[in-house]
Amino acid sequence: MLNILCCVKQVPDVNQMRMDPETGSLIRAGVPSMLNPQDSNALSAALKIKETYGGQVTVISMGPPAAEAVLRECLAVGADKAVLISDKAFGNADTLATSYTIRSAAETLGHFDLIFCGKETLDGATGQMGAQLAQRFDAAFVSSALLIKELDQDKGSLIVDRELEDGVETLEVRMPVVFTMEKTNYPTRIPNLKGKLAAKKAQISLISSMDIPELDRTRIGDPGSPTKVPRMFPPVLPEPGVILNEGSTQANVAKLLQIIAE
Amino acid sequence: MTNETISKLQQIPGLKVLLGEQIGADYCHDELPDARPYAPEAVCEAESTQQVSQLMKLCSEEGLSVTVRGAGTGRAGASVPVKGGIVLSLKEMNKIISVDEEAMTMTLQPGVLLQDVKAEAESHGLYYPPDPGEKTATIGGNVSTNASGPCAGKYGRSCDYVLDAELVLADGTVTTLSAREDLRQVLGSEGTLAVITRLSLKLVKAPGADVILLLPFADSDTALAAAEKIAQADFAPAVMEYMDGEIVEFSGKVTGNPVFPLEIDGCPVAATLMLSLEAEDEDAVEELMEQFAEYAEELECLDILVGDSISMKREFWAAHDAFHNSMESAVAQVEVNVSVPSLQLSALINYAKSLGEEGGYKVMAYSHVPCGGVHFHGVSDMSKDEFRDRAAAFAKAVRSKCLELGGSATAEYGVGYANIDWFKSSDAEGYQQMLQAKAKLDPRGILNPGKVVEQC
Repeated sequence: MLNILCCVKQVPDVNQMRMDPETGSLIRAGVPSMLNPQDSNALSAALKIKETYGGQVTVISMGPPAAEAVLRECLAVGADKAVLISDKAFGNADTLATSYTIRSAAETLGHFDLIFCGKETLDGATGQMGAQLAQRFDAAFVSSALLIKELDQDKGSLIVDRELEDGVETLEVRMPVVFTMEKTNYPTRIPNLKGKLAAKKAQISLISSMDIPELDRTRIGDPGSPTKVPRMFPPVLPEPGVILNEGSTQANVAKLLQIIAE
Repeated sequence: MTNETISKLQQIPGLKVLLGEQIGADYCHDELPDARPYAPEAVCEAESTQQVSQLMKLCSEEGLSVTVRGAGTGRAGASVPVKGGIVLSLKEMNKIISVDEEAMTMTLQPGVLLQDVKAEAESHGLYYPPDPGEKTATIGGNVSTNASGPCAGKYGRSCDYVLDAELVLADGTVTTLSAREDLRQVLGSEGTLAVITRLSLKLVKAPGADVILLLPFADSDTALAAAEKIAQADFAPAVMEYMDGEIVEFSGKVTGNPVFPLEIDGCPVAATLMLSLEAEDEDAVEELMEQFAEYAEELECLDILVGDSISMKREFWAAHDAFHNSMESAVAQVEVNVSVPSLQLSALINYAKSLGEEGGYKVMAYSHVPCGGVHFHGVSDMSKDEFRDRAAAFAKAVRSKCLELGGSATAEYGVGYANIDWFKSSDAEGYQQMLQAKAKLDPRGILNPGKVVEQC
């Protein structure tokens, strides 16, 4: 049976985020959270594989207890099992520490043949997690996967289309594989009411730092994160352009010449 | 227009006067499809009530016609200067003057865009419900056309939110609704009775939480019958949209982002109802959903899909709002917007679809069920010229059927110059009242001539 892992993250609705102009910190209070949109496409791909070839989909997220909400969203559309990695010791992690933590927590759950994640998150937008997870899981990595066309469980391989800037590349990869998914063929799934109500009551497994044997505490959370953010500030935007609308081309040209002369 | 008049216009302090080549093509049309352009002799961009008053006084003295314009997003030609004269643009009168959180009111100029009205209300924890869909329309335009939209069934239309308005009459007199309640008819009169220069709007408390439910059906009659049942129950949906499978499929292909289901467990979806349920908090919404789940067993829907996350709700509305623009990808198309009593929706939709089948083109529909508003889109691969007569015949037949079923043939897009005859036939009493008001308030007929009650 295929064992599929899908990594998801709860992110703030960045459309509603503001920055404190004095401290430069992000004001998260009152900002609603949501499932990272690209993770929902990854989940959709994972579920499609399960529906076509059988298997079990486990969703995993690292975050505060409130992140349970996005895991329940995943259960509502068909994920079989949800795991929350949550512990103060994991706080302030950068991508390096996060990928180590996810790999370490996933090891306690068994072996995974396929691992899916979104291309990037709405908040951090580093786009590093897929590649880092592939390294951690010692797996092949297919970024920007468009379509998983075939899966041969006997051979342990898949045929997959991957989007490039100037075309589409078809790859044959051997499991285990980490994918980051394009939205095109894997739109967000809409939960039904039955699934929603069942997900509300579902059990979510919690993994804390104490639950991971041989966890290297120097590689998690703040101590394990070489990325430091000394300062945050809003980008300085260039002066907005001027649209000349003097009524006619002639008048626009005259105005333009006047601006240049000035 | 004489040079002397132009000179007088230019002497109004602060008024920007555009003439000849300075008048951009945008001032000659609105969004009425396939309409010919009408050029004004001058465009005056006002920034204050005083400028509007001085301009109206001058135009009244000189017998010059004035067509008021906001963002020009209308679809009936109301802001188009069909009789030349002056276009009075209020787009620069775009200040939000104040928001009173306690009294839940907003005072603002007419050129503020609807999207900014909504955002400002939201930033104060309040809500301005009317929403015809086009968020870049001005609030003045919305009030002038009494715009409605999907949530009008529960929340009412734009004019229902006007507490007071500052008005400039045809002779330049400045007054307010609070001073002269008899002028209430100015609201929704499409700029034919007076110029709105300031508005005081009622806001409401934003719903604490909401959820969108999608109910897919195997056939459209069952969907509309279910909508009637839901309307009779106690769920008071803020929105209940009917969307037929064809429009969902067509639009999804155009946008490349098919959101609404076309199939449930192998069964093709012929129509979907989209409901928005509101309550004071998340727990109350959940309880409401559970009650709805029990109730929905008798509705014969194929499933109940839930959009309760921010991203999902945004996706639903984006997909819904894309219906209209996606039609532009058709080689030839016709749009008809009418309303009928909601019980008659099924008859009207089936009739319109049968016209498409007979005429060899595809007819798609979506509807704001509680107020009976329907948007029909007919699309064809024929050339525009080839399709023109069929499109006109379709529009006429649908509107006639709508009147037969007791509806309004002008519905959401208003009257403008495109729908005068239909206004007359669907609401003879309203037409007479407008005629009387016009004779009283604008006896020289300088305000937006050729619209609503007067042929162009």
